Amino acid sequence: MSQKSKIDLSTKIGDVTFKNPITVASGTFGNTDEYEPYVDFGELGAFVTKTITLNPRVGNPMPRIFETPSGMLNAIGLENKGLEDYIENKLPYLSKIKTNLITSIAGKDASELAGMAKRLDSCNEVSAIELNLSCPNIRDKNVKVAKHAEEVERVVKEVRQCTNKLLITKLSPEMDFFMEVAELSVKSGTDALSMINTIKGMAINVNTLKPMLSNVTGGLSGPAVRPIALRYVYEVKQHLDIPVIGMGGVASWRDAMEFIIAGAHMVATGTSNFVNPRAPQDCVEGIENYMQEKGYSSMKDIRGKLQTSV
Amino acid sequence: MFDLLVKVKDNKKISPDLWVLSFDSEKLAQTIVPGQFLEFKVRNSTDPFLRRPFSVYKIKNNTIEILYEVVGEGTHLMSELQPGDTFLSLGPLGTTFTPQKNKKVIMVGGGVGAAPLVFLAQKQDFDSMMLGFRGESAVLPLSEAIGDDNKWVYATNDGSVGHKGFITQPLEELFKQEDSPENLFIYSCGPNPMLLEVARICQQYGVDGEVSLEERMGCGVGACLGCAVLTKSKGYVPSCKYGPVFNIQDLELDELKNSG
Ligand SMILES: Cc1cc2nc3c(=O)[nH]c(=O)nc-3n(C[C@H](O)[C@H](O)[C@H](O)COP(=O)(O)OP(=O)(O)OC[C@H]3O[C@@H](n4cnc5c(N)ncnc54)[C@H](O)[C@@H]3O)c2cc1C
Ligand SMILES: Cc1cc2nc3c(=O)[nH]c(=O)nc-3n(C[C@H](O)[C@H](O)[C@H](O)COP(=O)(O)O)c2cc1C
Ligand code: FES
Repeated sequence: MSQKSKIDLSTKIGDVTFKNPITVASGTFGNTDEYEPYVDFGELGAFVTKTITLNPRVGNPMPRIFETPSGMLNAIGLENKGLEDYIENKLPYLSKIKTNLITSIAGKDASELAGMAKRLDSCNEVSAIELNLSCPNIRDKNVKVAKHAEEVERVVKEVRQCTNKLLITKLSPEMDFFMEVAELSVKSGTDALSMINTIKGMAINVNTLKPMLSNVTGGLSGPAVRPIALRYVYEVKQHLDIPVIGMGGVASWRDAMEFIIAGAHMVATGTSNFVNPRAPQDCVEGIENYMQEKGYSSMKDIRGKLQTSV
Repeated sequence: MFDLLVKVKDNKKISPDLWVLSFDSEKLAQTIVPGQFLEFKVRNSTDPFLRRPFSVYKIKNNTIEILYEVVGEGTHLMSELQPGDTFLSLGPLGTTFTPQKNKKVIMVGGGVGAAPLVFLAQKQDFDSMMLGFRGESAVLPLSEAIGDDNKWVYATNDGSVGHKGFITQPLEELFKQEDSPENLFIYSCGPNPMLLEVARICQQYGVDGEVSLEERMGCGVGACLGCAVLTKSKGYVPSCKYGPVFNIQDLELDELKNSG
């Protein structure tokens, strides 16, 4: 035990210190106490909320999810009760969680997102804002799904001016010219990038000839996307000097370590939480054991230490 | 709510299409109530990846029994479990049927939708247990009956056992003959088309009741919003948390046609 305590799992991004590099992916861990019976939130590096929008959204019609090989498709459609409900009814609970709170937001355009960021800037409980510019399941005009670099640039710039909080921009492989988007987000002042959001996919019921999701297409997540997610994190870290929060199919400490070795500052468990609510906590414990066995004493010793030379 | 590693006590076929899996858990036996469900992970695999939701069928002392049918890969793996094997069980999850004291209770089930009703029948007096099955191979053996088996009414699509056709037909007959339908209370669980028909005739005859829905589930705890059900009182709510038991009058029936 005394040996273990020498290992420093903490990770700093901007001015925020996270007690360890494990967090959860937006939309996969509820919005308040859903997983409280199973996990000690205080043991995680951060708690990330489901994406909230300025006004309430009812989400997409059913069916919204469908299981596919080693993963699932979802088209929830950002169902949420809106920013004011979040501040009034969710924040009081979330403020008691003994770790950093990352609030995920989406909006219809740069100025709406900037307004939301300003409102959240005054909430002390919020440690960071994650800009979800990449939900693949939106068909209406009330949520901006940035596909091009210039759109992302405009949004990040405006939001940056409205908040001093740690700003994270969430990207998806659906974006055109991914690396350009990533680069412009950094230039526009984002403090970190998170990736990946889900990848668009679909499934069809051959008996009814109907799509398995009412939205026809949905976002693919889970272990099926992990190698792709890892590749994105790796490539971004090759090109840009920016902290990355990696996610996509992480189910165990070993998966999480892959992302860290590829250069991620933090790693989130997502779909795996549905299967094993303790997944994030198990990752923390597993990483600690791994570090001890390998003789690493801090995250810096291992982060980005991929050996590509043979 | 617990995520437990439980040990298979028994896992056997009780009819050509139906299986009963049992395991001991004092914690669950003492806490779970009819209508609530458990999310199982029977193998540490990524395919299938998600857990599978199941109702409790019976509780005998500290032994939990699950009635199930093999429909896909998840339930196929479940049927391969041997006594002594372990698997994960998350729960109890969701809401319960509301106990009724002064009403004449009719339970209406379709296929393995009978499971939570049989558990309810262990605790709740009832006048009739009306169960519909696809055909003889899927019929729940009467030896499994709780209480007086004269109260058990069967229907099969092909008439091989009981009434020929849907169970909602004898149900409607019963409603027709009832002088004061407001004294009846229905508990129902089964495939959505059956539940829609139950709801329709309940509305027509002014009968109150509750249904347990089977929505596809991601998390089972209200976190993913994948199992939304449209209610009149609260709009969309996750079925795993605000359900699976809903009052019939609170459901927007048109929406149910698309799900399940
Ligand atoms: C609250 C609740 C209680 C249930 N209780 C029982 C029970 O007591 N006995 C029993 O035999 N079955 C029950 N079911 C249905 C059972 O969960 C499905 O039969 C099972 O998930 C099928 O898995 P599979 O991999 O064999 O089938 P597949 O068809 O291959 O499964 C594919 C996906 O669809 C989902 N799915 C398929 N059928 C259903 C269904 N009817 N309802 C919900 N999700 C489904 C699966 O979970 C999986 O994610 C219940 C469902 C719910 C929601
Ligand atoms: C059911 C579900 C809901 C999601 N909702 C959101 C969301 O609201 N906002 C967001 O940024 N990402 C959302 N995501 C994407 C995840 O945060 C994550 O980026 C993605 O699922 C990849 O990680 P995973 O494979 O570990 O799940 C959702 C994913 C799932 C499966
Ligand atoms: S299954 Fe995830 S919210 Fe109900």
